[in-house]
Amino acid sequence: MEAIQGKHFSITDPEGVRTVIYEVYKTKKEYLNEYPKYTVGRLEFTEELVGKYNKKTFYVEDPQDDGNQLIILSFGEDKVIINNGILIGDEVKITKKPSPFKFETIYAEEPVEYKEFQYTPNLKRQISIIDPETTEEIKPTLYFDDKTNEVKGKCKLKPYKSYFAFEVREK
Amino acid sequence: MKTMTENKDYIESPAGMNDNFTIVGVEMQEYFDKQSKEGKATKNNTEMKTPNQIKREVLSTELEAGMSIVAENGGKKQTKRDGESR
Repeated sequence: MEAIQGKHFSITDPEGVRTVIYEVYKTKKEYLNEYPKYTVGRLEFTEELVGKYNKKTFYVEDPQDDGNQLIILSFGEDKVIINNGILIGDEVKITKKPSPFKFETIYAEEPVEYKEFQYTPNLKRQISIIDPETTEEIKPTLYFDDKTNEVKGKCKLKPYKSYFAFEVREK
Repeated sequence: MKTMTENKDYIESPAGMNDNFTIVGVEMQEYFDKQSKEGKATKNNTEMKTPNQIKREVLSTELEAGMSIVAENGGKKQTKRDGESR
């Protein structure tokens, strides 16, 4: 019999709200000179419609004894609510008061590039840029910086469009 | 055979309860205007302690500090195989 790995939990979105969740990763000490201390990766999910609501089930494939820290982003019409949570044992605990953040529209006549954020070999990153309309992450073009010998990302952003970007920083 | 989890653990591992970090909203317009990577921080260091209430069905708009959501065994591969989702 295959050992059960991973955990899953559900959050239901009312009409007009779309939630995505990121897991926070910590870079091992021996690699701190090369990569940011904290990076994020998006959780996979499945969804089902329950009446007017959208029930989303999120999967954490590698639950840890000391917990897995999560960032819960719920996108509404003009803002995103940021919740912090931690999966520990058989529950996800919401650890802080929800924090709203308004989207930002890029005012520029031509497409602009947001660049110079690092990726780890497992494609974890410190900064994520999200299209609030679709909640999809803006896919970067990866390039190698000859001066610093690092793999970095470059995102092309459309003018007069809203985006939400967040960064995970060490306290 | 190396699993995906083993590959991920090579460079990083999931941040746990003892890891302290801040989520910062990035002001991108300021970046483009000033060619600066630094943005305004929207730090939230507030912690509210409320009696734990464990819920199975939770609306994303009702999340609040102190609340708990039930987590069940099974990653995505297990639940697909068992036919519990999709």
